[in-house]
Amino acid sequence: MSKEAFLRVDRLRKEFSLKVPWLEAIFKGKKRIVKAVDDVSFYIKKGETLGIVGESGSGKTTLGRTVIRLVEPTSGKIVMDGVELTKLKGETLRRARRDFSIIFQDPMASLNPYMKVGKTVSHPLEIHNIGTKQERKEKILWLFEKFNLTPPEEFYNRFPKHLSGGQRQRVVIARALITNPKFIVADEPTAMLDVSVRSQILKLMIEIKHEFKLTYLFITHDLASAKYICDRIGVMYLGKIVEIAKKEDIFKEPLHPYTKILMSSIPIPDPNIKREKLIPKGEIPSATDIPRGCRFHTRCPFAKSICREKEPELKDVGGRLVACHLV
Amino acid sequence: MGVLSIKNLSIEYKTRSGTVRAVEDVNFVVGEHESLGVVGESGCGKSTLGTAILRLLPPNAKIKGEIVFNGKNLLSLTDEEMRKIRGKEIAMIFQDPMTSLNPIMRVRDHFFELFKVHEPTMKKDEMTRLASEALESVGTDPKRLDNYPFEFSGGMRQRVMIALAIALKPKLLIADEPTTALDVVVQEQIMQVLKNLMKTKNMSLILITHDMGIVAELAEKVAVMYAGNLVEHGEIKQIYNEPKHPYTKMLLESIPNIKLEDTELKYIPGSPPDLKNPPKGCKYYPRCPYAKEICKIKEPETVEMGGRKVKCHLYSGSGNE
Amino acid sequence: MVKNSNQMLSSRLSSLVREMLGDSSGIMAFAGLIILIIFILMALFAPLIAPYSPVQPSGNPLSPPSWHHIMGTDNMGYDVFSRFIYGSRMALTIASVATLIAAGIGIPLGLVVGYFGGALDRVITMIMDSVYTFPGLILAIAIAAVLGPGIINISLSIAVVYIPTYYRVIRSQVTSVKNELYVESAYSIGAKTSTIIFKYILPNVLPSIIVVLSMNIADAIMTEAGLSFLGLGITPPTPDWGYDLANGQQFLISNDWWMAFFPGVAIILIVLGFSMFAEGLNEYFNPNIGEKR
Repeated sequence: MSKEAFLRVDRLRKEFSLKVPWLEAIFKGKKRIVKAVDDVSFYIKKGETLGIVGESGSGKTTLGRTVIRLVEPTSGKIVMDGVELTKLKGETLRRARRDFSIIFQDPMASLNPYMKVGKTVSHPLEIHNIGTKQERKEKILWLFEKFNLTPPEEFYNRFPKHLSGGQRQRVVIARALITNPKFIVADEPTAMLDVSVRSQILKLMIEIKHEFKLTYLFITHDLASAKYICDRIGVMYLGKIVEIAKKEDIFKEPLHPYTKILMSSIPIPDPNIKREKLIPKGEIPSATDIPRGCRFHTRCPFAKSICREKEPELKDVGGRLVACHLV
Repeated sequence: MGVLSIKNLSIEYKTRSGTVRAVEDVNFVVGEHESLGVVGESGCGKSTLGTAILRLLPPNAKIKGEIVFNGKNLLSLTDEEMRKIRGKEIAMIFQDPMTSLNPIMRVRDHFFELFKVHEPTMKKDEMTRLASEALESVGTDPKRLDNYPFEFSGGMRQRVMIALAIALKPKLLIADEPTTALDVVVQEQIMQVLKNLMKTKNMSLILITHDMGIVAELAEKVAVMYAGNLVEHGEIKQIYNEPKHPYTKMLLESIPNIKLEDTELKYIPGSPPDLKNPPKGCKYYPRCPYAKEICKIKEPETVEMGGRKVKCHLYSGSGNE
Repeated sequence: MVKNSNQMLSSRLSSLVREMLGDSSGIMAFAGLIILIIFILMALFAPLIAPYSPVQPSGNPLSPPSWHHIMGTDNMGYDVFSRFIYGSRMALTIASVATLIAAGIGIPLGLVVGYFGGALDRVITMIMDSVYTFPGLILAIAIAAVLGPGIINISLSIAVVYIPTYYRVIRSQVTSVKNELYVESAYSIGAKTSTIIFKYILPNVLPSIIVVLSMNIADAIMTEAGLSFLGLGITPPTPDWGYDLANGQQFLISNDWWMAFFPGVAIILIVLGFSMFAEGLNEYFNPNIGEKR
């Protein structure tokens, strides 16, 4: 682990307990627990974009929320820019939120329908007592101009329902940026936008990252977007990171079988290319019933007997981390 | 004249705040055993088009033109005649497999309901045989006929939906965003199912989607829609390798392709027009980098060039006026 | 800048009005609104509209409708028309005060309980549900009997009946709104709990109340009329439709119909107005999808 890590996550766990019908609770005894994030550790360097990719049930969304304590971790340690986030409480935690923010997937749902867009973006400044009323408005107008929400004065007074999807997401990004945070979690920021607009948002995010010296955690199921914007990529499966490496390495030569399958499943918008598809066996197991041994062994085309018995640890393979017995 | 022939199709919705022109003057033909991808972004009218073929539009929709299937104009049929066609001659699968199946009915009963409507004299054995056959052709164990929908995952439910759709061997299958709600690995599995079906059954497929990737994998022909208009239509390699319409060009350039090394990603600035008050002239005019004066005033004609159709002034010769 | 936003507001209002009038439910809401406005104006300008004082004899008692007394006079010689007009004051005042008290208690309670949930939720909801299951009029009678007459007391008795309605509606709305992404966003930017409740949740749950308010006032008027009818309401000779209705009953047998008829019509009309307004608004903003294919 690098010493200059901006964000370090150590053995993070998030468990949810499901309500079990009382008959089952009496006879089966066990509580049903979903280990959404199961002992995850990683770091992000300052100015880096780490992508977390995976399918639904992988735990990536929960991971994003837990890292900034929107969801309380069950156990583990999170250190951001020298501050142990997991130790903060109450008012201190609330004030610390000016240094990090999150962008959600659904731009319409992220904006208060009864709040003018200008007020929405200035609200974080109000909450943390930054600047005078005049200074705040100027900053927002400047940001709107920069984000192509022009004329800025007009946008300032509009309600979210009068904006397009792309415009709304730009407002969400403006709000995430307004307090000059150091770290932003982006949870599928383009999934609900039109295809031709997605790249606009991705380009904007890259631009502001350089200009405002940000560090990103970029969560997505769209590997193509991840390739475009991320520096390093971590692959999650059923709550664990199974591979984490530089983007070029992951795409050129995926090592973990699950990564290989993911890569081969991405549809390529080019009819000239025919590919060998690697198809996994069966269905993704239920999160309450995680397979013993390597959690991927039930679907792995290369599974051996050791895979059924022992859970592989993330180990260093040529500069990157892979959790697989066969590598 | 092919399996399905759409002629001068226009669809309007009457709403409180005005009339929405969802589809405008669309013409195309789907041949026997052909797979057509209908692509476009939100509001382009592709879903309306698909739903219209089976006459499943809400009552405030007004349809003009012809939808000719097997020689008959579907728009002139009675409700009873249309009901005989749905599920048997033309079938449709939708986006959300989680809510498309009745949670209190076993899979077997879903099939039986379908068969009872179209073949009331069919015996139970025959029904079970047909149902098992359908499940097998989508890669599902026929033993699962006795399961309830909640016992299936999203991908499996979509497979059941497809099995229900093809059980009575329809001539045309319409798939409206069949994999959008599914994970990428499951999506690939469903794509394989559809590919397989196209190989083994004598069926035509209309695949409605915004995902240019799955269209490239599955379709032979592609129709690009924008703001209710069919702007380009042709063979898949033709369109992807050499897109003619500016929208098609810019759309393809804005999609990240993992096989290409770090290319500059473009995007299309602005947004689609308001379909309640569409501008005169070409609908793409405000966002088109090749726009000319005539594009603002007059709607372009659809031109045939080298086996494909394009609706753009750049090619209709009138651009020189 | 100010002119601009005023213009925007008025043009948006006029397009909303135009849209509403193009729809049958919108027309109903409008018709209801017009009836209401007539009654409200009637209440406001009563002294100017009423030809006589409602509490002073102005003609021969028990005289049928005529040119001098277009609705006739009652057994005390009071002009029924003037009492018809002044009666609107009592109805609207008590119903509004009662509704305001009910909303003033029910809404904040629903907000807090809906947001925090937990044991508090279970206890208070249980209490509210118990009150809710009581037939409204009976509960109001019971409380009025204890508190005695007087405008405040009557308003209180009626208010208690309606608190659970506001509580339930707001609480269920809050329970769903608090899981919305924009509330989570507010939390993520560091907003305090009070800010989240008042700036993010409240504006999004209030619209559901408008329809409830309107239906409530209609109901409250009926309840007030009922109380007065039973003698538990205002003290005579204050003009009150319910009281006049009760009073006029005894003369129906001698074919002197006008004393019961007009107050009855007044109650029916104003309740109709509020109901049409509420139903129309509700139907317009949440249209039913029950159409035949």
